[in-house]
Amino acid sequence: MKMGIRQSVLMDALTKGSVAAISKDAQIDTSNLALLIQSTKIIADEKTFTVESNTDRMSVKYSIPVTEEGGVIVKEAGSLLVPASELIKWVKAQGSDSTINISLNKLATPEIINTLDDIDVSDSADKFMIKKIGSAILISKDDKKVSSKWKLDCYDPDQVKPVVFSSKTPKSFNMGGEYLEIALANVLVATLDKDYEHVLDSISIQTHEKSLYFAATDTKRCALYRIPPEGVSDIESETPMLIQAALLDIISKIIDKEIPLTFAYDEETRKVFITQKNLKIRLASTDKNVIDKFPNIKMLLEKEYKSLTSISRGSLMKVLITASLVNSDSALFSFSKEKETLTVKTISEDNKYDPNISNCIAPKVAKDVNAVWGVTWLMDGLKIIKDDEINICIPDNFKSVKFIGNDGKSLMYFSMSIDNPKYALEKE
Amino acid sequence: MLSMPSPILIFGDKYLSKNDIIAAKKKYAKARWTTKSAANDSLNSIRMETGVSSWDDNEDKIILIEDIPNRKEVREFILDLSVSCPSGTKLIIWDSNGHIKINPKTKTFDKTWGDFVSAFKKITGNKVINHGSELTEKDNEDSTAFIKKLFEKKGYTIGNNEIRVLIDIIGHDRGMLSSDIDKMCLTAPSNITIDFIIDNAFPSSNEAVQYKLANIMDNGSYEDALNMMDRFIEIGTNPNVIAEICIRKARWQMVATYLWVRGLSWNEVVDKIMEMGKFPSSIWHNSNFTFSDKKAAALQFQSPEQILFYMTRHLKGLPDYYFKPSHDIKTKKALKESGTITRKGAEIMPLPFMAEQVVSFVRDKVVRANNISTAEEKERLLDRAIKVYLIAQDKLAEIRYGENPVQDLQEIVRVIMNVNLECF
Repeated sequence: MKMGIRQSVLMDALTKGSVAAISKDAQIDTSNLALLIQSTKIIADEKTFTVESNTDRMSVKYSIPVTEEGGVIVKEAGSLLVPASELIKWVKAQGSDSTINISLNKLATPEIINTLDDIDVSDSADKFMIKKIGSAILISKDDKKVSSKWKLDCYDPDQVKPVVFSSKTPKSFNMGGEYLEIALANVLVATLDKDYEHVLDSISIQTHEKSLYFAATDTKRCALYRIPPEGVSDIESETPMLIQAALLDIISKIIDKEIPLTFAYDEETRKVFITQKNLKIRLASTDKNVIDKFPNIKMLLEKEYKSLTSISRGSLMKVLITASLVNSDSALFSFSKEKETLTVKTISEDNKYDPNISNCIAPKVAKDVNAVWGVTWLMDGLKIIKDDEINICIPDNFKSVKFIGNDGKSLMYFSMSIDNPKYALEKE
Repeated sequence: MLSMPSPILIFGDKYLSKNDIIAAKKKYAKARWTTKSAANDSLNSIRMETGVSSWDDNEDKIILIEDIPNRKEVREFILDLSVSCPSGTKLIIWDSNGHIKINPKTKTFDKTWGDFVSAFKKITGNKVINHGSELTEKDNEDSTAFIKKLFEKKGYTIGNNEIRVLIDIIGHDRGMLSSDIDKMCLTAPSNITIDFIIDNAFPSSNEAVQYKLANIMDNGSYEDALNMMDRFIEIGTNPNVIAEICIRKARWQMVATYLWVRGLSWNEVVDKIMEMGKFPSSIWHNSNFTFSDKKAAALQFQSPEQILFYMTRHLKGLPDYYFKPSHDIKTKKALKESGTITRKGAEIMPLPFMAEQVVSFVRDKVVRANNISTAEEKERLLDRAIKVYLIAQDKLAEIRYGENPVQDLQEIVRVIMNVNLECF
């Protein structure tokens, strides 16, 4: 293989196409195939320049046309499989005005790398060995004649299966590129860091009355973001999707925000496909019975919540921060209709601190209410609802509380009530 | 709402306590289980977890509190929580650190924990499960009572002499005794005899690991297998030993699968596995002989002289001068030290019931569960067996050179017990 490419074009392609190889999943891999998993595949022919990488949870393929104007010239078609992290670091160091020439210096006989030294693997040799076919020679030169030459090991690209993106998978919906990042910023707060079933550390994408919602919950609270109608089109399937939040978070950082995204879900292989111009992504999802463990958002959207009051975000945050000093897990929230105040009382279970009482103004309280809510959960709610006034709504059974901003429709944050008998006397 | 009693306090032998919890998790699998550590999680967060409502009104919730530190405020908190726990939430308190135990001298709880247990017993709906503290050689009476009770529970009688023999073989570990008695009761006569114990009780050795872990794995319970594995690691069994046993298990399953796919009936597979690795192979693999014929014929060629005779006369082709004469060797140790002719130990199936176990796992848990009949399905079945074996071998390497042998062991157990062909 022999080609020349502008540094900025190569850097952009590597940032997108190598994302799986440089992900945490790949970089902490200690299996005998780690060298292959941490490598990125570069394929160049006369028409297309492609960078791809994959792990068992994520596959990414980024292709651009080969044109001189686009900054890519291919003199000899071919493919390379090189360590992604090292390549990216070197390319980044070259500066955007550089041109990078890449070629393959092939070995006469491939070198076999036994990844399990000292172990007799003669019976199943191929399984444990990686073929090094040569070195990728990297030469960069910029306008000021600053140059650099480096080489990286190149493994046999045929040892990595090509990423196949089936065109037959039925489309689910189209979404504006900018909304993925916004949706995640609004719901990620309610996910668990890790859930072995990958339900509570995932984002659920569901539809309700022709609107598209991103939802996350750790069972104690739920954040719900509706993609604005102008940001969604062609909803062709109402099958809910469940994708690990960590994977979506990575993807949201490599997509082009100006270009629409197409989501598709293959129920048979349990894979989610996200495509954008030049970029194809395949993410692992899960079984239907696991997806069904995520609460249906219909349950929340159709439940009647009545407005209790609207409180200044700043005042509420101050009260919550003070309360959390004594007990960040639960506090008694007392709304007084007559005084138009909110009183928050916290008691420490281990009696380490004296009880704390904080107050703030709660205009137009609809009725007297005493309820125990999680202090940090509410603080998390305030982190995503950034409006000056927070609307607090409750259902008749008081079992949860809903925070909404001025808009009231695009972002909702629910938090469950707590049965804590320590506060029962206070209620009376 | 769950019919489970609440609050429950479990203490005593760790293995038996954990078994209870695993059994409860299976029985109440539909409930949402949350485990909290009373030592590491704040009391505020435990209270919150117990009291928080659920999105689904019909969801049952079980909170397991373990790792209880020896602190007054924690004991008081647990008693208060047990009294005031919301009706929809069930509470299990497990003294996993073993604070609650009976003083062998006074035969009573120490005052602090004794008061705690007494106060707990006064709570409405409570259930206290005492698995007894560790038995020692001095506690012969307790050990006898414990063993007698376990047998009687299953409808068997056992005398004191028989109990003494059983303890001599297995030791005083309640978990090991309980597990072995469970196993023995599968085939025991109604009155347990010394002969039966000698034939069926397994000393706490590698052999015990092989049988017990394999037995649990064949029953298809991943949690139970992990619990037993933890137990063996806790009593000092090297993870390498457990891994090698698991690999042997995978290898036997692979052989059984191959033989069945090749067209042998399940009974023939059992016989064939029992013949595996036996010398001389020309006798054991002779399809014209019955099993008893093979056994009788093979018996003539077991000593070094007989092996030499077999190789020079029966195999016809190996001249006598190929073998170096040596002094008379009688013992196995002497054979090893002298370095003279000795047959390399081929892998054999130690006991017939182990062959039965292997075959029943492949037959019931894999073949029948996946309804395998076509040639293509059989190919996938064989593919699974080979992959399980290779993955287990791969993990053995990681156990030897890696940093987290317990996790690797868990993965070996998980792959061996994964009978879903879709996953391979």
